[in-house]
Amino acid sequence: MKKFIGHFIVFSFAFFALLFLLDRVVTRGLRKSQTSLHYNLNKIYNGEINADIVINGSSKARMQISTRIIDSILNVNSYNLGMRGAEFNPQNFQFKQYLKHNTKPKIVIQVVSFGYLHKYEELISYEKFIPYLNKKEVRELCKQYKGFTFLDYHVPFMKYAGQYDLIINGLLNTIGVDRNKDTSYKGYSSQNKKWDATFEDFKKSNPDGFSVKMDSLYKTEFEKYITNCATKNIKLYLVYPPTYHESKKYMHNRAEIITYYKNMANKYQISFLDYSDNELTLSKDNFYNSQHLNKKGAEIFTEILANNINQINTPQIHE
Amino acid sequence: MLFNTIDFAIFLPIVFILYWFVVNKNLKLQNLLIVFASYVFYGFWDWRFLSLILFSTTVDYVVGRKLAEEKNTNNRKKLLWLSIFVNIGLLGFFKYYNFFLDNFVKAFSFFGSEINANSLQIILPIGISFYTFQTLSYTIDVYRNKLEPTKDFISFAAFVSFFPQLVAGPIERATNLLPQFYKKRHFKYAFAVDGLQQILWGLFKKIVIADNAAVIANEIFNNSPDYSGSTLVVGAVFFTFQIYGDFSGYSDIAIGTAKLFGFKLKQNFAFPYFSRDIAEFWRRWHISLSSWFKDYVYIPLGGSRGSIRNKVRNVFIIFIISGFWHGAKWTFIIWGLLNAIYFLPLLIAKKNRINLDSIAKSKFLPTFLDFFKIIITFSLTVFAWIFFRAENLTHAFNYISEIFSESLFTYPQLSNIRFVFSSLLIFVFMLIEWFGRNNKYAIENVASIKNRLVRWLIYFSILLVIIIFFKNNQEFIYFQF
Repeated sequence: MKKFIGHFIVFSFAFFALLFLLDRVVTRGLRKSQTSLHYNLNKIYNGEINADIVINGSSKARMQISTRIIDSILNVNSYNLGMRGAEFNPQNFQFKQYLKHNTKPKIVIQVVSFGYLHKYEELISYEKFIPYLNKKEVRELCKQYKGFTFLDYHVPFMKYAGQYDLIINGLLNTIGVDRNKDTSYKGYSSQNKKWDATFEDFKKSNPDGFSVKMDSLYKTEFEKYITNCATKNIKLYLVYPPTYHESKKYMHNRAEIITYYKNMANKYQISFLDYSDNELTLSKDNFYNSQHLNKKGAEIFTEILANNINQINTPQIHE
Repeated sequence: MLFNTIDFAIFLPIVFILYWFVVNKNLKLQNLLIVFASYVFYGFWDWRFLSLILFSTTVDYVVGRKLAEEKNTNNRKKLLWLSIFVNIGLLGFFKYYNFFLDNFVKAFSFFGSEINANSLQIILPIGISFYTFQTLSYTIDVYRNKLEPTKDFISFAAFVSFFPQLVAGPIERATNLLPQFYKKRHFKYAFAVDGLQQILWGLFKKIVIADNAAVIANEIFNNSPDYSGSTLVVGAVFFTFQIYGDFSGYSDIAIGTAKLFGFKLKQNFAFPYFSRDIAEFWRRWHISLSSWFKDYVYIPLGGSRGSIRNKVRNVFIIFIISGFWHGAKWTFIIWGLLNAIYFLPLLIAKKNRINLDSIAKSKFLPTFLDFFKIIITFSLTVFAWIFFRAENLTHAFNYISEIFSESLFTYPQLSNIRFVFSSLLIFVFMLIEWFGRNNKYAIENVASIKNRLVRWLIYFSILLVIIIFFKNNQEFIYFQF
């Protein structure tokens, strides 16, 4: 028995050492990775963005606000931090990290939407946070969601269990091979697509539509976010983007949500730019699904948005 | 509790330490610990159903004791029937009640009489098909005077509920397992290492092979109308590997875990996909169930003796029951029926016992003829698994009809990296299985490699691949049976 226990302990130690080594190699590789999953977070932590205008939001920001157009109309250096599938909490986390590691922006365009203040049980695209799971603040964010376990936080390499795509990417990056590089322009990812069938599928599965609950804690944190921007002298614009007009009737409390943002804007004396009824919403030609503009729609929308911002507050941009 | 969870990774060392370091000097306490641990293991799923195990255990223990005292043949028969009635009754109620009710109602409505009968919301207690068969084997063997009935209730309770094989087998015979609870177990280094090695291989089969194959098989089976015939073939092949990796993986973990506690369980799988005919396949697939049916149903019915009519009848009975054992669905019955049809020509031609030796013994590769036979047997098995996996008969028939359409000759609609990757994994896995086919499990010989560095590198590699492919809480298919 002594021999068995002894060998088992030595074996376990040797294996843990191997896991530790692999963890370091893969993490290091992923922190250099330029795939769309890790690109923004890596640039944030490396302090490589330092933009005048930062666009915050979910895919509704990433795919709908062209940094190229913002730059050309407002004559600034902008960057789109939009995160696919992310609600307020991860967006807010990312922005805090941005402020910590980059120079503060003059303006933040915050894309708010139907689900922005809704709390999800799972952290969507959680894989992007894995290489940074050793950071306390990242762990605190991840612990708010289902999915990560004790082992992910405390046993080396276990956070990569089941993530063979990440492991391969991490290993390849270590030897200088970067697959699937991010193709966005400063965070803007245009979608050159035509209307797809997802809305038709959605209507079939949700014929009576649905409501979204705004999380009370998120509301409180959202107000803190607004005041924090004001304290840091960052001009904040809340932007409600266009959604295809037919989809509105399926979102029962849409009006209530838009009113909430209006009230917040009034309360804190910030601009709320509501494009939910813009004429862009009337044509499928501008969308690839009911919630996202395609490249054509996004570029028209960004032009309108940039001009509106320009009209509201030109001097502050160039101060 | 699932074997492939953190819960089990914590549970196992605790029980191991208590077993070998705390209660090691007292056999009764060791057995009691096994009962307690087994009940905890099962209670993790649903503690309420522990009462069923305890009830089944008590009934068969008492029947066993009574059988020992009873000399009158008629009374002995009554006692045996009592045990069969209780065990099959429990199984019938929990597993088959709704099936019979629904089919009864359908049959009546077919003949024009409408019956209002509400099916019940019955939860199927996991493992019930396994432990009821295990306890039944005890009573039948005692009745047949093949086994001395036990006086030791704790040992008997440990035999019924032994956690490594409680919920998905192997279905142990009392003649093999029960006597092991009477004897003091001594820790043997080589036996324990062998156990750990078999657990490792079982986890590899489950996590790396089955769970990966499941992603592709589920996608194709769940959306079969969207796929071409050639893709559906791929789906069926992936399911074939999924179910093998899943179930034989579970058996390996169970057998390996039992070894850690000094117990030797029966081999449940012997490289079935290298079988050269269906009869051989059934000698290599789920051996503990096949042999149970053979000993307690097929042979009492007359087996392969008697007239052709009797032989045919017996084969159909045994395979249909075997299908039905898997679940209360027509798809399982057709699966059993199909296997009976495959088996019958061999039986009639008296060729059902020609491939008893190991495959390509002492050769590197099989002969062309053996290879051809393996491919044919494998293809027949794949075809039968379609019924096993399908949601219902309509699904199965639609699936098969699409396979036998023009789209069979198109390129499969699977170009993603997962498909290529999973295929490669399965290929490597089958190579390892091929080279280890003369062992109890494919990597059994690794333990005898003299160079520790090489041995450990092999273990590290397997462990790493398991971690790389690990996903939380992937259930085992055979839990539902």
